Amino acid sequence: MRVQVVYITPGPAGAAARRVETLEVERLSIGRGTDNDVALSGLTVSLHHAQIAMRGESPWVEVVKGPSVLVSGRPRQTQRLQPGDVLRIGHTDLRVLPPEGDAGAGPGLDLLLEVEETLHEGDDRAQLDRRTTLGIERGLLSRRKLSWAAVVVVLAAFLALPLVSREQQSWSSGPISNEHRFFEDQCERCHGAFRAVSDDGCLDCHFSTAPHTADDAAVRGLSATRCADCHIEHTGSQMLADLGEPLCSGCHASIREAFAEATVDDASDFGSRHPPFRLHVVTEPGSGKRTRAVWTPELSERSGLEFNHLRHVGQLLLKPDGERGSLPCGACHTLGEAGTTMRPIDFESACQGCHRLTFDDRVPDREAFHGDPAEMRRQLRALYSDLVVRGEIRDSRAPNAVRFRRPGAQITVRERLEIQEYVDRRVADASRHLLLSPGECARCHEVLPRAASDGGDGIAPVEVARVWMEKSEFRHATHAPFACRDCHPAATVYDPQDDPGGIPPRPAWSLKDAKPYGLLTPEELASATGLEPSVRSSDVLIPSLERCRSCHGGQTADTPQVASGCGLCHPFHRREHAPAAPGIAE
Amino acid sequence: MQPSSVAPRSFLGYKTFRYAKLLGLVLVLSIGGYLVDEPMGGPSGGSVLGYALGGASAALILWLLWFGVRKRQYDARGAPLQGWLSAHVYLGLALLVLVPLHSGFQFGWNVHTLAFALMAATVVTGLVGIVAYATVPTPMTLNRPGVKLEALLQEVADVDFECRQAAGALPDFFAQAVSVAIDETTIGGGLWTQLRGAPRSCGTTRALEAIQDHDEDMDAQGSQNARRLLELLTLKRALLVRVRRDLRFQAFLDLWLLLHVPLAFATVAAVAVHVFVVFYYR
Repeated sequence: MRVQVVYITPGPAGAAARRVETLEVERLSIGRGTDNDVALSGLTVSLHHAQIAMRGESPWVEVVKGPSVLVSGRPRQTQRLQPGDVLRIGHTDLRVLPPEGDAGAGPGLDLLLEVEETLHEGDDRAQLDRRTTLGIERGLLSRRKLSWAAVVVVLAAFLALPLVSREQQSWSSGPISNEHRFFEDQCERCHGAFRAVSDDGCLDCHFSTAPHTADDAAVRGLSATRCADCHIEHTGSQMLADLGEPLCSGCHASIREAFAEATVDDASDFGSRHPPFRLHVVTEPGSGKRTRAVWTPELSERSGLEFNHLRHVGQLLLKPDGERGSLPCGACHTLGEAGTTMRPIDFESACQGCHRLTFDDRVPDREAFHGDPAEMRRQLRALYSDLVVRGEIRDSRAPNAVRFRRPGAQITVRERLEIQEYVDRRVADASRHLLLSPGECARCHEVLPRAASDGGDGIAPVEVARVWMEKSEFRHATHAPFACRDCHPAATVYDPQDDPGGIPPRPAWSLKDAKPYGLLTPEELASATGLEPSVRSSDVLIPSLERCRSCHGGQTADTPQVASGCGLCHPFHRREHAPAAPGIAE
Repeated sequence: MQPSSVAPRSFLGYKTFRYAKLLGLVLVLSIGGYLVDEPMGGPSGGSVLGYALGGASAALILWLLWFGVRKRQYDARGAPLQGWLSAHVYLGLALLVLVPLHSGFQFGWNVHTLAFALMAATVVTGLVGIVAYATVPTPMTLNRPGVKLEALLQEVADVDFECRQAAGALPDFFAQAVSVAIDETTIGGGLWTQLRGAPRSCGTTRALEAIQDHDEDMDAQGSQNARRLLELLTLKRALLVRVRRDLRFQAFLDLWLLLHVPLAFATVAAVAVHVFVVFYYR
């Protein structure tokens, strides 16, 4: 059987390419397999789908394996082929042409087949493609479009909008501190465009804030430091200022490198590297001057006053009301309103209740003025003169002009001299009694003969240090839960804190047969109670550095010690350097 | 479109984990520095270390972005793309640590944390990508071993053609069923449909079920055609399952990148705003 097969394949621009094959075969096999004489594509074509063989004069098609073939549109298992028939297998048309119709086909041709794949528009594949959507990127769901959209949204919402509307909440790096909340939305109160926050904005409100030294601009490390370097904002409601040890030890670890004229010693951590306390003690009472002295147990100062803590708090005292009782610390020492230092002790409120300044048994209710002896004598003179004028002197030794004086009667010159002499004598008696008797002024004061401004006996100047540690700030109020004697053992033989219930205890020494503290020597008391009571006012009864360290550790101290940064006692802004506040009334 | 020839195992272990070791070094240095550093006011982006970590992170983000350019430069010299990808992955992971250290772990509802959140989301989608490339290709290859998707689609179309032929001589019911099977069968579709792996309703399945339930007396030729039609639709349904499974795998492979790239650009925009703001309001 001699067959010519013409393959027609679509070429470029719609032109069809023709390829002609001439075969000499027993039967023409057709199928998907490449071993077929006519290999067709299409997975619905069986490997050996059909064959064409001559039966007599006519070619017949016969299905070998697979679905029926379509012969001119009708499914057939076997069929005689005539010129003009179209055999369809899969999506390929095999057109049967008249064997002699093709020029140059040669003689004796049994079959002429034209083979063409039919993939026209509108066929199943094209239709399937229209119903097929591959890939997930389309429309807005594309990397490029989404990227642009994301960039535009971010820039618009977080850059353009805040710049234009001034609604810049989204720029804030964190919640504003509690104190500054009332102007949280006014960024320009502190910030300017492209410049660091300057001190000007801070000082608008905090004008009275003191610098660290008398001249910060002259100190290396302080001159270029801005408020905002330490006072870090936008970190929530925690403290604005960082009181951390690194801030201080940056300079104070070796302070003279930063400031050659510094008078303080190097320090970097309270727990491990802090100089011993240096106290401002009084050595020249009345001069206002202080001498700095390193704390030692023996440190003494000269206040011009004599006072014995043991006598006052170490024994039962006969009180003015006739009762015997003990004095608590608070009878004399009361806390100032600021909660830091104790109020100054004044004679009138703390001492005079017991130590009455009576001077004359004939005027037992009168007490002398406390303070300046000259003023005291002036007031005594006025008192006695008044008594004379009112005729109230009942004194057998007084001159007659005084004794028998009638109020309102004329006084002769001689009588006046007698009266004056009498008053002078009484004043001198009283002054002598007060100043020179062992139990009166001299009990506490040093009496200087003829030192007063009126030429009479005077009193040595007195100056009691209110604050020994001027460069630190101690708050008695925060230490209130602790007993006074925890820090001041020498001053507190009796301590009401011994019994917080409020009932005054009966100390061991007040029991029957017990020897009152006042009758014990300090050595006996120390062995009985472990206390070393102070008997001299020159004792400086302030705790040592070690005493503080028994509770307070350094910045990084672990429990049970209180972690104590420098700022706990030493405020950075030093009040003594504070500027004068501008006149607010203006 | 996809660098699908790069298997994760190979790029993760590139040059005996060179970039994994670099990541470890970066983490040790940055975390160590953070622990040692005691800036005034606590750690923040404003400390010396904060600026250093922030600058390094910003530069790193730009370099990571450059990967999108480098992967398209097929004629580039220097390290192979595999090495770039290895570095891209490990150094991208480093950002998850560098940026929180930069901020001193200060987060809030602001553009600064937005930049971090977008960056973290970018890194996470990148990790999803690694997981996708580690897990998807094997079942994807098993689904159509050595066969292109195009060939499967052509086969579906061929079956459609055959179905038309088979139904041509059958009663109207079959013609209608075939029409449904062809016209109401969609492949692919929206993102969700592709991820689900099947449309809510498939014309082929419905047609197949209808024909299976159909009972009609026919002559021998008709019965033969009907059986043939049943064969074809069953074949088509099997083909569709494979095609859709393939699309589902492909969607998984594409989805992370569809998020990764826009998130990366959004990160760059937010970082730019962050840098602008911190210098605008210093």
